[in-house]
This record gives sequence, C-alpha cells and structure tokens, in this order.
Amino acid sequence: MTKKKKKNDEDRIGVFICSCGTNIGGVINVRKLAREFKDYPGVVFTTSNMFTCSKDGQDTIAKQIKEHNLTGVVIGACTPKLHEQLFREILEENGLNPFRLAQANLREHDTWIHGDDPEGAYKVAYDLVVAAIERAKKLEDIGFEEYPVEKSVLVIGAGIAGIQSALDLADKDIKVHLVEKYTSIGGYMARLEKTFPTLDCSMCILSPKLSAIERHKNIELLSYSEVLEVERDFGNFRVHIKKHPRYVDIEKCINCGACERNCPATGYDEWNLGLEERKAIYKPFPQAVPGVFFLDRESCTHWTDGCIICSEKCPSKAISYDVEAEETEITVGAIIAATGFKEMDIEELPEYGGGRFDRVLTAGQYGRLLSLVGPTEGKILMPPKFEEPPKRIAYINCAGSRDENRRPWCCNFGCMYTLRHAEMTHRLYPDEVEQWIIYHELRAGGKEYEQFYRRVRESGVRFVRGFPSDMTEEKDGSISFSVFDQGTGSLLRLNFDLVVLTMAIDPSPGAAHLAHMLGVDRSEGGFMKELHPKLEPVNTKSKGVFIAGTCQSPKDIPASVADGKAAASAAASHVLKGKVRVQMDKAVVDESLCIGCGLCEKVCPFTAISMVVRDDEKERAEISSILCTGCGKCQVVCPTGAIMRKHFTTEQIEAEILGLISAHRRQEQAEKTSGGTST
Amino acid sequence: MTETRDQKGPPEVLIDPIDISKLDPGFRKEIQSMPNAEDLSACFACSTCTAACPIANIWDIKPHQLIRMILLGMRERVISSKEIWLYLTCFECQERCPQKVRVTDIFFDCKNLAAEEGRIPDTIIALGRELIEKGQLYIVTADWEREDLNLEPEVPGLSTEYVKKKLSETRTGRLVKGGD
Amino acid sequence: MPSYSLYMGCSVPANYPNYEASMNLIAGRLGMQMEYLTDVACCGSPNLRAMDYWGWVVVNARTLAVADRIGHDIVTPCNGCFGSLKDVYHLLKHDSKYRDRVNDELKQDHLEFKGISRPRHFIEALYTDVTIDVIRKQITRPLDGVGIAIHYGCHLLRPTDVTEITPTILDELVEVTGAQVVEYPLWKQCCGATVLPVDEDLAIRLARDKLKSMKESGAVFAVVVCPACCNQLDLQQLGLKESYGEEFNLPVLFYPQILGLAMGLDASEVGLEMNRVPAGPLLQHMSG
Repeated sequence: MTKKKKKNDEDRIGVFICSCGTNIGGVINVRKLAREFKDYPGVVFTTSNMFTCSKDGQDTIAKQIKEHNLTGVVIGACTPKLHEQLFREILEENGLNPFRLAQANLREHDTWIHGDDPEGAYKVAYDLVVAAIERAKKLEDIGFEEYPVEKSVLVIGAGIAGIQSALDLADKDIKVHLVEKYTSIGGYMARLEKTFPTLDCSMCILSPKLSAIERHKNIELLSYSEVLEVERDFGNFRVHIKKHPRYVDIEKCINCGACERNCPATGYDEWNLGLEERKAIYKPFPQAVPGVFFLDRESCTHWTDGCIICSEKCPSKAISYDVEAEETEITVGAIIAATGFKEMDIEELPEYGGGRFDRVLTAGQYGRLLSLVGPTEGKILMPPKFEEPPKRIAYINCAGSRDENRRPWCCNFGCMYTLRHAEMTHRLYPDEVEQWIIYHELRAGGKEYEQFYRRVRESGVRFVRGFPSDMTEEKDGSISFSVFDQGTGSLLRLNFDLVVLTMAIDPSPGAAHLAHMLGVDRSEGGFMKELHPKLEPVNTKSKGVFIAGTCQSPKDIPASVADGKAAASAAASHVLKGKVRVQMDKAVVDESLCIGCGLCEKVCPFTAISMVVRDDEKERAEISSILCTGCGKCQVVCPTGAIMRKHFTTEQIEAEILGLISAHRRQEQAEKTSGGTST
Repeated sequence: MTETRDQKGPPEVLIDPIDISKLDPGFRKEIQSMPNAEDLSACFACSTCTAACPIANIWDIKPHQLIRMILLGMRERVISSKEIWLYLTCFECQERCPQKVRVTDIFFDCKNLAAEEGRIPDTIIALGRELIEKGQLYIVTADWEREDLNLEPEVPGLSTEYVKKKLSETRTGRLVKGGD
Repeated sequence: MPSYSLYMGCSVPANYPNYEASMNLIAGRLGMQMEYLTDVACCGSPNLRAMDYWGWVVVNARTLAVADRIGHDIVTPCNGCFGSLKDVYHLLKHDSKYRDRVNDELKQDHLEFKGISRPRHFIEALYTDVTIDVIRKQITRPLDGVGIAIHYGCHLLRPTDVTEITPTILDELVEVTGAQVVEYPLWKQCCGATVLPVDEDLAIRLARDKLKSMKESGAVFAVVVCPACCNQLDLQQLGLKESYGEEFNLPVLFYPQILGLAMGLDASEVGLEMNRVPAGPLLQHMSG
C-alpha cells in the first residue's frame, strides 16, 4: 500500500553517520559531519556512531525512530549492498516502512577512494548526506505482494548430483520432475567401473539410487527429454519440455536384445565415448534406467531405406516407427540445474596427436575399457584392433588443463582419476604391464586421497614429474616422446604401447543455452555461476533457480553429492513456504495518465509490460510486478510520466540531484566567505 | 609438431636423452628386497632429503635424484656414482623424510650392490684388508699410555680370530682377494 | 647396583685410553658394575656395513649373542659401535628371516642371538639408570659455568626409531657438572668421520665448519662421546692449521673426563694430558 505524504506532514528525518571503525572515521571527522545537520530543515535528530551495523548501532536507530517519531532515516555508511536489508528490517520492526531509508555510501563512494585528501573527502561526504536527506523527504511507503509457489521442483540432469537432489526432495514429499537428455539416467558415474579412493564398484553404489528414482512415487522421470523454454509465471516457472521418441515402448520391451543383434546400421557410441561404433538400436548398459532399448533416429536406416528388421524381430511388438515427439508443459516452484560436464575434445591437442593416433586415448575412454560391461569387457586391449594388451602404458595428467591457451582451470579430480586407473590396471595385470604417470603436480586433497596416492606409489608405478614433448607415432603404432624428469634431473626418451590423456573438463554442451533460459550467469569456461563464490555455492542470481554438481565447476563425486543435497535443501526452503514475497519497489502505471503509446512495452528487457485493452476500448500498459526487475527503462521513455518506478521515481531522483548541487554550492560559498580554507 | 609415419627412428635431439630401454624396473625391485628398503616406493620427490643433507651441494647428483633414479631404474648411473661413497651416514635424510623412506639404509644397500661389482674406493677395501689380516681396525700401539692410566696393556676381551675368519669368507674376503 | 657387559670396541682402547680410564673410574664411583665382555670382535664401523652387509651383521650378532649368554645389557662408549650393535639388534629383532640365518651361522660356535642384552651407549645408561640426581650429589668441584659445546654425534641420535635417545640427555649431564651448555647452529651436523677414508678434504672441511660454529657461539670447550668424533674435532685441529691456516684452540674432552674432574678425580686420573689440543685450561674453571 502506498501512502503519499500530504503537504502538511512534517518531515522528521533522523541522520546517522557511521564511522565504520577507521574506514570512514579515519578519513573524515564523523562527529563534526553529524553536527552539520543539527539545524538542517527537516532533520530532527542527528548523531554519529562507530559501527551502525552493530547491535549498538541498530538499537540507536530503533530508539530514535520511536522517540522522535521519525518519518525517514538517513544513514551515511558503507555500501547498501551489505546492510541495506538489515537497516530496512530495523525500520520495519520499529513501525516505519522499510523503504523510508536513504543510505549514502560514504565509504566505497568517498573515503575509500579519497583517503589521501581528507578535506576533499569531507566535502564530498557532506554533499552525499544532503542528497540522501533530500531524497528521504520524498520517499514513500512501499509494500509487498505474495505469490503462491508450487510445491514442486524441476531437476535438469540426472547424473549423481541431479539424482541426489531429486531423491532428497522427493523424500520431503515434494514433487520432482527429473529431466534427462540421454536415454538413461546415471550420468558419468554410471560409466565408471570403480570410484576412488575406496575402489567401490560404481554401479553397485549407484544403481540403488537409480532404482529409487524409478520407483519413487514423488518423482516423475522424463528421460530422453529436453527443456525447450522456461518462463516465469509470478512465483512459479512454466517449463516446456520435449520428449524425444525412443520408438520402443517402455511397457512392452522385454530387454531380449533381438533388435540390437539384428540391426544392420551403426552410429557413434556416445556412452563409450566414441571407442567404437554401436548399433542404431541399443541399450547403453545393462542397469540402465529406464531399462529398455532405444532407437537412435539419426543412425537408423528406416527413414532412409525403409529397414524394419528390428520391429520384425521384436517378440513383444514393442517397436513402432510412427511415434512422434511429445511436448509437455509443467509448472514448478523451483528449478535445479545439474547438467554435468564433458571431457575436452582431444582434437584440441595436436601435440598429442589431436585424435589421429590410434594408441592415444582419453581417461574417460580408458575408463570404459576397464568397465566389465564396456567394449572390451574389462580387459585392457590396444586400439584399434583391441586384440592384445599393452606392455607399457603412460598416463599424462593435465592434458589441456592449467593451460592458458586451452583451459586455465584445474579439473579437480584428474590426478585421482589417473591414480585409480593405474591401481586398477596394476591389479588386473600386476606383472605384465609397466605403468608410468607423467604429472605436473599431484593433487590428492580429499579425504583419504593421500593414502590412496601412497598405495599407488607402492604398487610400482613410475612417477615422472615433468611434461611431455610432442608425441610421435612409431611404425608399430607405439607412441614416443621426451620428458625432463625433475626428480632425477635427466631428460628421458620414452616409448609406450598406450597413452592415456587426462583431459581438461568443460561444462556439458547445451549448458550455455540452458543458463540463458534460466537467467543464470556463467563463469570462466562457461560453468554456471553461483551467487557468491564463498558463501552461496548452490544459489544463483535468479531467484528460485539452483545449480549443483560439475555444471558449476569440476568436482569429484563426494562434492557433487554434497552439492545435490545442498541444492535440494535450498530448493525445498524456497518451495515449502508455499509463497514467495516480492517487494513492490517496481514500475507501476497510472492508467489515468497512460496514452497507450506502447513505448514502454517495446523497451522492457524482461517482457514484463503488455498493452491490454480496457473497458473503454483504449489500450493501456499493464505491468507484471513479478517479472519487473525495476530497471527503470519504462519510466525513462514514458512521455506522460504515467509510469513510475517506485523508490526511484523521477521526483525522488531529481530531489537527490538538486540536493547534491545545493549542498555543493553552499560549501563553495562558505569557503569564499571564510577566505580560502573550509573548516 | 608431430612427425608422420615415415621416419625411421626417434627424432634427433640436441641433448641425448636416456632411452626407456635403459630404465630397468628390476633395479627398484632389487633394492626393495634389500634390508630396510621396503618403503622405497613411497617417495614422492619432495627433495627434503637433499635439503637436510650437509654435503648435498658438493654432489653432482643430489640425494633425492639418486632415489628417483632407483625408482626409474637407472641402475648403472646409481651404482657407478661417486656420490654413494661420498656419504656421511649421518642419517639426517632418513630422519627428515616425510614418507618414512629409509634413505640412509637404501644408500647402504646401493653401496653393497656397487661393492658386489667391485665398484668401491680402494681406501674402503683397505679397511677390509685390515679386518681380515688383523681382525680389528685399530691396534694398540702405545700400550704405555694404557699402563699409565692403570689399564691393561692389551684390550681385555677383544678376540680377533672370528673376525678374520668370518670376513674372509664373505664379500670382504672376495674384495680383498680380488684386489691383491 | 646395575650390572653391564662392557664392550669397548677397538678404537677407544687403542687411541683414547683416557676415555676408557675416566669412564671406568666414574662408573665405579657411581655404582655401575661393568665387566669387560670377552671373546668379542671389532664392530667393523659403518664402512664394513657399506661394503659387506652380511659380514657386518654376523660379526655384530656374535657380539650380541656372547652378551646374551651373560644376560646384562651391553654398554659401549663409542657411537660407531653403539650404532652398529643397535642397528643389528633392531634388524634381528624385527626380521625373523635374518635372525634364523644368523642363528644358523652362530650355531657352530654354540652361540645364539636371543635379544636379551640391549646395546646401550654409556652416556644413556648413565642418564637413565644412574640419574642426574645421584650424579649431582657426587659433584664436589663444580665448574664455574664455563661455556661447553656438545657434539652428540650422528650415530648416537639417529635413526631415532632405532636408537631411542633424545638430544637432551647430554645437555643435562653437562649442566650437572656446573658448566653452561652453549647452543650453536651446527649442533646436529655430522663430524665427517665416516667419509675420511674416501675424501680427506671433505672430512677436514666438515670438522672445520663444526669447530667454527662452536667457537663463534662462544664455546670455550667441546665435549664428545665418540672416539671417531674426537678424532675429527680434536686431532684434526692440528691438520686444520696446515690446510686452512686457522687455529681454533678449542680443547675437546670426553664427557667422563669432565664429570670425573667435577667429581673430584685429578687430571692425571682422567688422562687430561692425552687430549691433543691441550685441555689443561679446563682446570682453571673448577672451584677448589
């Protein structure tokens, strides 16, 4: 509810100048400054204190509001970004509308920059406080609106972080819609054979969670689906999702595999990271959820050649080529993005062959060789024929990472990943395979990671601290390179049957587009940006949108699980209140002044304004206060002044500017009359 | 940049690198099977041993480099080095090692391996000769000094026969006879 | 009255009978019963270990086995002997394969290593069994707080898991005589004795660095507990004059000599005139 001040209402402003320790008080005399306003028109109380944000300072404000029946509060202190919320709450607690606060930034805007000129800083401070006083005289009461929030959450991405979020939320009886781009959930963790440092079988610890997702009554799994569009609808999100057709009926498929065995067409195997081709109809791994086969339209020859072999061979008639993609719309109260990562492309590393050398693999691909349900059933065999095991393997850490030319960041889990590969290979082939790890620095920071590192050293793996030269391919396919071993101080020329590169880590493809849809910023490298790097790891600048897992930055499984849980907790906090409170310091339209020109609708970047036809058949602007962010563009372009951006109306801004000018002039005059130096 | 499949051998480089064929993984196992060398592989090249060594600066190959060489398999380099004989046996390296690698004990093992191949300074062999011929390293020459202090002129209890016999049967004997 | 089997090694009796004599005298005064072991052999020094590990183990195991027959702890005044005996003792206690091999060898002489006799350094036995308090009561001519620098020696202190000696015992033992312990930066550094046969210049350099550090920190005398260390720090001072042209004039004494004098023995009883750098000036710092 807005309350306009009547003309005969007296201004009773309280001025509080903060010393902020020595940040402000060390440069200007705050007590003197406070005294300047003793007789200022409209000011009934003025004081200074050491730390206005402290309990002491808060109590002072509270007391003075009541005692002097203040109509406005001016605080000359640090940036509003830090304590504006706190100060507004103090006002509210003591019977004054929270928006009657005008804060002058005497620190970031004055003493922190003009510390070398205390006299000048004092003058600026005086100007700023006067401007705030004049603004305070024009401030109005502003209220809140509440909008209902759906008790449901959309989780995008069903890797371990997304899965953990979904399970935690579902356990709180919140409805979860889990969207996954790929045919099966599980993400990268499902590709691993074992996890460091415990060497737990990855699928053994993951598949209970996969089953739980499938069976939980509160989780709706939308696999092989994509988010097309996200719109805000007051407190909720309206999300358009496209469900791609599998061409295999989930209910009818009995997992016999006849379709795959007989399929004549092949395509790129994304599950095995391109190690070999797979059939056009296939199931990525036995424990996939949903546990059915799926047909990849791009590699299938039905639509080009009319092949119908799989549908003929299917004993339960589960295959149909006439399935269309479905689009569905859901409304949720919050969204968690957990879209994961991918390895950098090997083509970006020409010094290691750039993908042209058969015997150079990525760590992810090597992990697939180690997998018992992978292309070689857990045997390490040399590409391209996969017939014989290698006698000598080299692991190159930091391939592309910590490199200003490629990816400046550390991939976080690469060192441990390599150690795990080496340990597993050592157990499989303790005497037959020689292993070398070529590393930059070995980072084993997590719990019990260092002890794992020691164990790998003891298994006989040779460690060389150095970096490889360009690699060359010998006639027999083996790979050679030179490396300076800092440990012995000697230059070595090494040759290996197989080289495994621990690639740098990027966010998944499509993360950029999704972030844009969700209103989430991105950090260096395209990773989704958290609200605060130290204190807000899962929130984003977009209210109601949270991020978890490697889409935020590369991290290992324990950290991804923690992220998932944190995001679930934050999202639950958001939706369980059932409503969201929106401050109404937004743009509003005075319909009596609106002439329906439509300029405001054109300039609004948030599509918060629409022109609607009223009863008198004239168009008027209508503003959605939840979509409006208060940027003020509409107020600038409105020709009649019908639109006002509350709390920063034209009148208020003018008052502030005029206050600055008059204060400045007053000081100049005082200087002239006192003959030079100002007091 | 990378070479094509047409080349014959490894590219020529200005500095002769050590080829992988010369790096013998058996050497590490050989040392590890010797006394007190089980934790050799725990070494993670921190070079604290070198920092602790009072005479590291006069060694061309530093202590940590020698340990890394054992781990990589540079047998010839280690066994033939002069550094293992310029060794104080002061145990500071072993004391400081954060991974409890028994560095001094490992160096003793290297010395034994080198001695087995006859790569040992003559002056040390000379000590061996003293032990085989006389059964002790130092002989009482100034027995009057002992008598002045009311001590027996001959060292009570010292027997030399066993030492002479035993050491002529072991490597000491082989080294001394080999030299003669 | 604790009893010990005394193992002298060959260096102390041959080169430093003053150490042997002063040790016996104060041991007698303090109630330590020490009997010379018979039929024992030279320890070989660390250089034997470098050349012939098995030979070194057997030779020292025999000494331990001989002591086992009597049953008392072995006490030795030499760091090198202490280091060798203790290392072999530690090895045989923890490695059953080596123990079995060794006992096979010793069987021919009707000996067996049982691990009953613990090898100990004389200084440590003095500190632990006799204790400072008992010694203090016997001090009749305390020193006047003159600065003495202590050189422990490497094989006395390290490796700590084998020797189990803390580098404070000699400090306390020296202080009880009335002297003041001078701390100097290179206190832990090796004297260089082991490398003497291989590189004499290096050994001389190490000795020089140690003496220089002691002198610069204000020490007037130095104390050692090992004949090899004494050789490096005392005898080498004469060689230093030739190689470096430096004169340190830092007399080096064995601990029992200082303690003996403080307990009332006279200079000839502790063999003071045998110290290479004249140690007579010490007497001026004694009361009475």
